[in-house]
Amino acid sequence: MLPTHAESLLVAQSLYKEYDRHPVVRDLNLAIRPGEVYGLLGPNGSGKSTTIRMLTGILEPTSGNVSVSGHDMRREPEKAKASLGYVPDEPVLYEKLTALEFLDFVGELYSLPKSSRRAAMNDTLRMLDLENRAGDRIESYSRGMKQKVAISAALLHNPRVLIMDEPITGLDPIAVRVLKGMLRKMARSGAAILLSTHILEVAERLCDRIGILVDGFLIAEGTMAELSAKAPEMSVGGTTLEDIFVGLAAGEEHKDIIASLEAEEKEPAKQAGNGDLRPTGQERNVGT
Amino acid sequence: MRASLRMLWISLKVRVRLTSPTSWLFIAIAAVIVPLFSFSLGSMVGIPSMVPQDLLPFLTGFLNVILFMQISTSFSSAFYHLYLSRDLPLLLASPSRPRSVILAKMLEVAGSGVLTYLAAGIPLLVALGKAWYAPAWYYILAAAAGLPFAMLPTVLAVLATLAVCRILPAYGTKEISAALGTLVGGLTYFFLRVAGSSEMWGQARNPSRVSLFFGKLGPSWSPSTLLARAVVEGLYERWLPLLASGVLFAGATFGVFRLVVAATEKAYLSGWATSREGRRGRKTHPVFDDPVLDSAPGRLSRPALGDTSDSALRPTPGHTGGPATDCVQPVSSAIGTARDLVRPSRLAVELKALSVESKLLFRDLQSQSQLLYLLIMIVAWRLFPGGNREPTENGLFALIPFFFLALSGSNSWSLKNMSQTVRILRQLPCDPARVMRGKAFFYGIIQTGCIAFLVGVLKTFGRFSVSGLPVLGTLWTALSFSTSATTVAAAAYRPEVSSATGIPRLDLGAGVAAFLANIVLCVISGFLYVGALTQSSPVVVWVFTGIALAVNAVAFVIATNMAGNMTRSSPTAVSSSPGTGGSK
Repeated sequence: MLPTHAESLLVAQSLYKEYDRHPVVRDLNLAIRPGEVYGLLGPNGSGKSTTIRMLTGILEPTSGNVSVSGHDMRREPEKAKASLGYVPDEPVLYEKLTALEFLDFVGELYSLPKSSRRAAMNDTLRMLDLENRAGDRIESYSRGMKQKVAISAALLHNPRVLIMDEPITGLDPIAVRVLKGMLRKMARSGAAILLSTHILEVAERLCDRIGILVDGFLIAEGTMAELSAKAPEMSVGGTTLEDIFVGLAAGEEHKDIIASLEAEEKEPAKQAGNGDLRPTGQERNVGT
Repeated sequence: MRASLRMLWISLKVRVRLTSPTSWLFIAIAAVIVPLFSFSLGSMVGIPSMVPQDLLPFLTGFLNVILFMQISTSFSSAFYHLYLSRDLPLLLASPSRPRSVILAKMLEVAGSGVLTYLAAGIPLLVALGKAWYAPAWYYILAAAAGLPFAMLPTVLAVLATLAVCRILPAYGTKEISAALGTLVGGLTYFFLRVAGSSEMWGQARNPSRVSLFFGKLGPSWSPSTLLARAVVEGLYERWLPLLASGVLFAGATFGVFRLVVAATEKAYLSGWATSREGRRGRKTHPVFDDPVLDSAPGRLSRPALGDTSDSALRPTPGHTGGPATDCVQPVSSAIGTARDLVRPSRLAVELKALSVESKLLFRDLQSQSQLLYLLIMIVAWRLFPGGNREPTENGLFALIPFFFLALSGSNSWSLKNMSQTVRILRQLPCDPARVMRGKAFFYGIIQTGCIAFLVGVLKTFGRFSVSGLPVLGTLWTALSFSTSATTVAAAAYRPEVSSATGIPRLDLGAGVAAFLANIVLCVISGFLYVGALTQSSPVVVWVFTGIALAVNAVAFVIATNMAGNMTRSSPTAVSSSPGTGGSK
């Protein structure tokens, strides 16, 4: 059941966006409660990034409303954005600054007092294992380290609403694990988190609810259990998130390609089952 | 406004941190030299002896020149601060009003215009104030007028940025800004040639002529005219007209600026100005749009993007990853190369490389802008009213600057994509020297074309006469090919791309070596040319020419083979490329 707007921290109502009369996001309704991690999934070009840009106030919707922590993004953009943290799909960083200088700049944008700014910077950098390189210029960082700086910048002001577009791109497995832990901790403390990712395993494990966006339409939404339960009536050919996602998002042509590739994969396995690759008696003897 | 100023202050602090020590040095030097130069302008144009009726046209014209310079700088500044601004999403997502962010960005653009006004306008206004014994408030008003005066160029530049970003695809915008900058730079050059013509300066210190000349440069309703009128009224301490002109000038400028701020905010927030959203179909990854990669053997076929007509670098049917038959034989000797050169069917790889190079160059507007600049220089030279119209007797001297221009142009062009070329060539079963030869051929053709064009234009306009043009043309063509080959070889030696700027870097030692080699080739060819001209027998003339041709041909072969060898052994080609990340 869709939560009521009063209790939700991030709400999108009838969000619609078009470019050159070409609709990109159509009539999107979204509500994320405190303590909830919401996974927004969708194939490339489905409108995820545009949706996120509208939710963060970077883009104005053609029609519809966004509210963050009860503040309307159009009427009170400063108040709405003050409680919002955003990790873009590509880290937006000044390469010539050090991580510390960059975070200091972001802290200033969010009007964080100097004393708490420094403490917050140290905390996030320590958690993401950037402490030792914090004084180096960002241009010397790897892609994953840049992503860590972008995540630190989004978490610096302890936002109540966190929006992350492909946050784990470039991160090593340890950092991914840490990030998952941090997100769960934030959710436990009452933050609302929207996460866009192509890694379905992450969405499946981390998100309380998942929405699937295709061609600008939010065509399915619910907990993993709800989506699995609805799978037969959606006729998606399986109950895993991958089955559901492919069943809903892939076009007929891709479904055929996937089916033929999987059939080809099963064929050698069948032949192997018929005895072609069975161990010889000699090998069995060796085994015993 | 307060929020915008706060945003501006934060941005300013970041910009100060981002400015390199070298830039600070340049700023310090400019801060001393430019005002000194501008101050001397006051006495150069004869301000002290200027009669009052000449003052208004002179000042209008002079302010128009400053306005033009401001437009020139504002164009690139607007691209940098708005469309190419990587921090705009960060700032728009921060708790600030979007209008404050856009206003701060536009004020940053205006800042570059203010600097021009401070450097060129203020010294002249101060010189006028001194000559007219103006009161103290005149100087305060003159300084304060800098901001509104920079707003109109900002408005024009921002509107142009919006229009260009809307019309042209996103991936070419950086190049477009370079092209626009070059165009405006070329026009500035033209303007300066006009301003420096003998018609103006020939009548030394004739302020009336200067005023009349400058007066033609701007309409009476322009902001320059309004500001000039306000300045003149201020000098004569006529309060009411000063107030009227000042209010009209500042009011109109601020009004237009405010409208454009609102329009820009709307354009960015609606996604209208960000063509990445508006033109979704055009979003491509540069690596996957590379014609060399597209046609490489072993790459997954993408028929929609590849050029199916050329098959030199495509795998033949049944090709299993072994050496491609068309490129397998390494040609390491001069004899082998010479054999290839006379048998076009064996030049498939070279021709393919040449074709790829031409695509890379002509799809890069930044490179085109260099050609455009050349064209503008010629037009400016042709059109400027003063100067020597008599033909130059020795064409060799007249063409030396253009020859160096062609050399330097070739150097930067061949360097541009060398890092990618080297990486790709290492993956291919192909003799790299042949690809390098194709590159050198291409830049040789470009250089020859540039020089032929210049010679043609200059001869048409009667700017010089030169004896022995066929011999000279032959030598220049040979030199173009050989010097292209040496610069290609220099570029192939440790091709690096700065991870900070993405700009390709030439190895200093290799660059110096190529430059010296080019000078040696020029000197040898020059001696042989002079020697040929002194001979009476045409046969001997062509023997001299033949020797020069042979020298350049050998240099071409040696340099391209060296380039091929360096491609195989270059140690830093891959490790120093951008995108590889890496830690200390």
